[in-house]
This record gives sequence, structure tokens and C-alpha cells, in this order.
Amino acid sequence: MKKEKILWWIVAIISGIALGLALWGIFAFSILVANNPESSAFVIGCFGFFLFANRLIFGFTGITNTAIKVIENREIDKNKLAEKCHHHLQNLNEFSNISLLYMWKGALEPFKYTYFFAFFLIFAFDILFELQILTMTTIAPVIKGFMFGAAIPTLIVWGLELMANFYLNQTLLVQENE
Amino acid sequence: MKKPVSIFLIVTFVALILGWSIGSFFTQTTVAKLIKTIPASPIVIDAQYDKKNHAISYSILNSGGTLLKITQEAFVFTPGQKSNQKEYIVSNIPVNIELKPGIITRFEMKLKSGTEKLHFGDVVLATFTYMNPLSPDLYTVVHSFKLKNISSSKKDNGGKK
Repeated sequence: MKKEKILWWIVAIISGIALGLALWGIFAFSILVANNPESSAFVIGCFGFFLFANRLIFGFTGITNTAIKVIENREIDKNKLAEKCHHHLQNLNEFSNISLLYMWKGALEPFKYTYFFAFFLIFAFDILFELQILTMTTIAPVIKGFMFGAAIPTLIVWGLELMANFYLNQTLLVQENE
Repeated sequence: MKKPVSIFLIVTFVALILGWSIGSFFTQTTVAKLIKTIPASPIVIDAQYDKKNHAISYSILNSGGTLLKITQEAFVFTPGQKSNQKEYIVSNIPVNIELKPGIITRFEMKLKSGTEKLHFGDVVLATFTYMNPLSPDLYTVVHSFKLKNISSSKKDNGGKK
């Protein structure tokens, strides 16, 4: 009985400290955001767009890795590859690995265009401020910071897409040589 | 197996430009914030005599980033050779002129009413007392204005310098 009480007290004190720390953290964070609106917009833009770019980043790296495996004649799990294509495939053995790779790339296409469209909207909005078609001195640097934050994952997605396309083309060349 | 060297080069190049622009953007915003907090002293850029109103209009540039306030003005009139007016001093005229940051503000200082209009060679020594938002101290700017032959003769023709 006594032991239980002591335990409850410890839990209460720890949770009290945690609550206080959380409140203090929120307070400090809000001051940080209020003092550096551009930097916070940059961070939010970077993380937010990374979230949306997640599928594309992993998709394109997956395509690249699998294409390298195809080029080097290593074994590939066809069922796993077929899962990525977002199609119900019968007679899986009739499909070659390369065609499955191209289907995977096709499955990523709508996500890619949506992503680039979102980035384009932010970019166009920023350009409106840059060319002084719209003038809002308080919002313009925040939008610009957001755009720069979003530009980082967009660059990564673009580079990975180029690389995936390159290795996909390489697979075709290897097949022709054989 | 071929390696995508050209793609690496292109992406690296774009990444360098992106990093450069991000860095310059943050430098620019921090410098702009810093400049906005630096007060500067007002500079009298131009002074012209307005014969109709018997006043001198001053153009003052606030070269800093903060708002300055002129709280007082005073002037000393020293007659030239052509004038019959005696020397006089008017001091501590309370005014409230706000000098907005970065731009030129124009305002008029009326000379003592009932006195003779200015002639060539007359000198008006004006003292402006101003405050900046960082301290309660008072600062002054002294500007001497001498009515010159050339400017006043042109003024009679068109009123423009």
C-alpha cells in the first residue's frame, strides 16, 4: 500500500515536470517563430514538402536500385516488384522485370505531377511578390522562405528521377547487347 | 556499367545555385532587419525661401531605418548689408514633425511675422532638436541658410531652382 503511494507520487511529479517542460517548450518555440518568420517558414516548407516527396524519393531510389540489380543480373523478387505497380497482374511470369520497372515508374507519375504542380503554385506565388505585382511587405519574405524550403526536396526528387530514368535506359541497352 | 556523371554534375550545379540563393536570402533578411533598427541623424538636403509666406521650406532626409521626431526648432536671423531689419532670435518653437525612415520630408519654418522680407545676404541659422526612439536624449542639427543672389533671382521668375 505504501509502496504504491510512493510510486504514484513519483509518477505525478515526473508528469508535472514533463507538462511544465512542454509548456515552456511551446512558449520558447512560439517566441522563436515570432522572431524568425522566414526561418520557420523555411523549416515548415522543407519538412512539409519532404512529407509529400516521401513516396517519390523512395519510389525513384527503389527503381534505381532494382534497375542496377537487373543490369548486374542479380535475383529479383517479382512479387514484390509487382506490388509496386498498383495494378492487378495475372500471369506474372509473362512480364519481364524491365516492363515491371516501367510500370512502377508509371505508377509514380501522377504523384510526381501533383508534387511539381504544388511546388509550381508556391513558386508562381513567390514570383508575383518578386516582380512586385503583389506587394505585401510582411508576407513576401515568408512566402520566399517557404518556397526555398520546398525547393530542397523538389531538387532531390528531380535528381532522383533523372537517375532512375538513366538506369532504366541502361537496362534496355544491356538487354539489346544480350 | 555506365555511371550518370552528367546527371550528377547538373544536379550539383543546380544545388549550388539553390544553396547560394538560400544563403543570400537569409543574409539579406537579417541585414534588412539590422538596418531597420539603426537610427541615423537627419540631413538637411535643401532649403528655399518662400517669399509669399515669409517662410523657409526645408527638405530633410532621414538616412536611417527608424522614425525620428523633430520636437523643437529655433532660428537666429542675421541681416546682410542690404537689409534694414535688426538681428533677432526666436527660440524653442515646439513642433511635431515626424521624419519617416529613408525618405525626404519637406516642411516650412515660418519666420517672425511683422519682420521685413529677406534680402540677399541675409543669414538664417536654424536649429532643429530631434529625438530618436532608442534614448530620451535630445540631439540637434544646425543649418545655416544664406539667401543667395542666383537662387532668389531665379525664384522671382518661376519659383523653381
